[in-house]
Amino acid sequence: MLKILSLLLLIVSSKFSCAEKVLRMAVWGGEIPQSIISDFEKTTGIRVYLTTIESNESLIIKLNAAQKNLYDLIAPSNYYISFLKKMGIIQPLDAKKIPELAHLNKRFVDSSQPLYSVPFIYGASGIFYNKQWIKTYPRHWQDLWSQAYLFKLLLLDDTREIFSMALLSQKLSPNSENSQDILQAYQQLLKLVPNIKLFASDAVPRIITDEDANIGIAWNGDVVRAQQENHNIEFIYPDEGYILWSEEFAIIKNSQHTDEAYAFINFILEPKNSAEITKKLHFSVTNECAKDYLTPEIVNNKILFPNQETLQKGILQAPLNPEALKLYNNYWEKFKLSM
Amino acid sequence: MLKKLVKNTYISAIILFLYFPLFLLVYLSFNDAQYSNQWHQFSLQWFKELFNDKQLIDSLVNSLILAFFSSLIATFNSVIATTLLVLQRSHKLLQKFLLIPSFLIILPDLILGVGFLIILNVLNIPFGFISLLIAHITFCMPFIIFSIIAKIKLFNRNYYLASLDLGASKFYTWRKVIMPILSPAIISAFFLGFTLSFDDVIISYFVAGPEFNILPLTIFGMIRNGATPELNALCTMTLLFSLILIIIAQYKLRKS
Repeated sequence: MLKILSLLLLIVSSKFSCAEKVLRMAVWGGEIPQSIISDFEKTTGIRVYLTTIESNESLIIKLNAAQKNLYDLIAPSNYYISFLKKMGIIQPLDAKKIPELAHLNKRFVDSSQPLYSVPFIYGASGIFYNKQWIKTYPRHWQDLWSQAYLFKLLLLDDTREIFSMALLSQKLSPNSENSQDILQAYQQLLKLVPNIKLFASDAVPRIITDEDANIGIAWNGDVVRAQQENHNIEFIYPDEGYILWSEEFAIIKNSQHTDEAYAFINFILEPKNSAEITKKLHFSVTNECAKDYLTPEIVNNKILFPNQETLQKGILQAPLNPEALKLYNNYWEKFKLSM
Repeated sequence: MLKKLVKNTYISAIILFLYFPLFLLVYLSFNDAQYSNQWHQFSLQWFKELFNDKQLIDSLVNSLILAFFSSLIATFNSVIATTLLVLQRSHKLLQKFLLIPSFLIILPDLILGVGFLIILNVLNIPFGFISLLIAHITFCMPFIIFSIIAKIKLFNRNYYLASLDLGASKFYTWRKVIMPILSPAIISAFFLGFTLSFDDVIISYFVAGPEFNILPLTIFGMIRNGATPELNALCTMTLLFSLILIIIAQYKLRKS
């Protein structure tokens, strides 16, 4: 018994042996392949402690409630960055320390503003359909309201995404804070009810692959994943606009490991490593040079890498004021209850 | 006859209800498809990926270490606290003593978690192994105390008195009489604490730090971007492990 105990103590103590260089990160689960972390540890000798988060909100809770410098490097969604900036949680970045910045897709970098965050992957929500089962192909958001899709739609279980869809179908801004617009979108959504089959946002690739739903709104990455196992899936970016998001690295203010954080940002933005994210996890990456390391088949996949013209039609999600957010949530609950 | 049929169907339905999800996980862990739930082909690739996934294996080891130590310390404390009650005659004291841990059981985990968050911040204890250990010992102890006390209530005080009459010291009696009688209850209490600590999400969520990831929280974080079949493989391995333990236990029991 004593022997087992001392052995266990040995294992535990080995876990706490102080490596000099550490980097503590919080990123969304499943967005960075394990191989990149291991390569980074091997080449730089920095020990990475990776925490996976499941939403932006839970990251904020953790950062606010616990010690503010719990992490060094975080990767929330783009619309959360301005919020974090306002709260003084993240520090401004030095563009000179990130040479790869020049190769990022211009759509996601606003060089007129001071740099607080660096995008590394992006995604969009559009319409998917299974061409084997759906005979009339949708072209616009408005088409989802068609009688042809009675009890067929898969909708993302996400307030902002669904309201954006409704707002865009009415030619309104998806970031609208106007109560009239929101009401109009809500009334539009009520008309959609007979067409809805299910809500989901977690197991979307499975639902699409197994043909449990053959048309609806989905994230492009999920559709690409589903395509690996079911070749009948198609995806379109509606012309009137669609929601774009990006996941962005930011460094926490007062971090003790700023240099290590920069090192990691540079490492993951290296074309070879960025390409790895696309290959393994099927996310669109912001570094244009990464395409040199991908097969033409992937580079030419219009779902994964839409052309610049399509990309310009995408609308980046913006933060909302609290009143508007509350209004959205109220209508969302009412909408869900009317199902 | 009809009564028996109804009884048997009811029992089978409940067993099916309990175990069907587990069988489904095992079945899917051998499926050669990343997203689809339909059967494609037999494959062991998810087990291979599981063993190569450093993050998942790391947090599994961390969880095992944490569960072992928190349950060990909690059991140790509970044994000291509860065996003292054997030595006391009054049952009123027992009742009063029970109020403290039962309060912890009623208290929602969420409130306990927030409480820990505040107190750890005030005391400036870094979030990590130590904070998790403190929290886990606290929420495991009431359950361990209750399962030991259940056995103590059945304890025949005459053994204790007889031992004293024969000239044994209190400590010697504790070691040679009380402990052996209570040991099955203590061991099962230890395993109860181990399981509780191993799969706690809510309290750990508040006190976990970046340097010590534990399995439930890692899985929780992985869900949003799709739970990979690796998790199914992990579940299959865990099931297999528990199955082997149960078989060994049964075998030993039958021998004795």
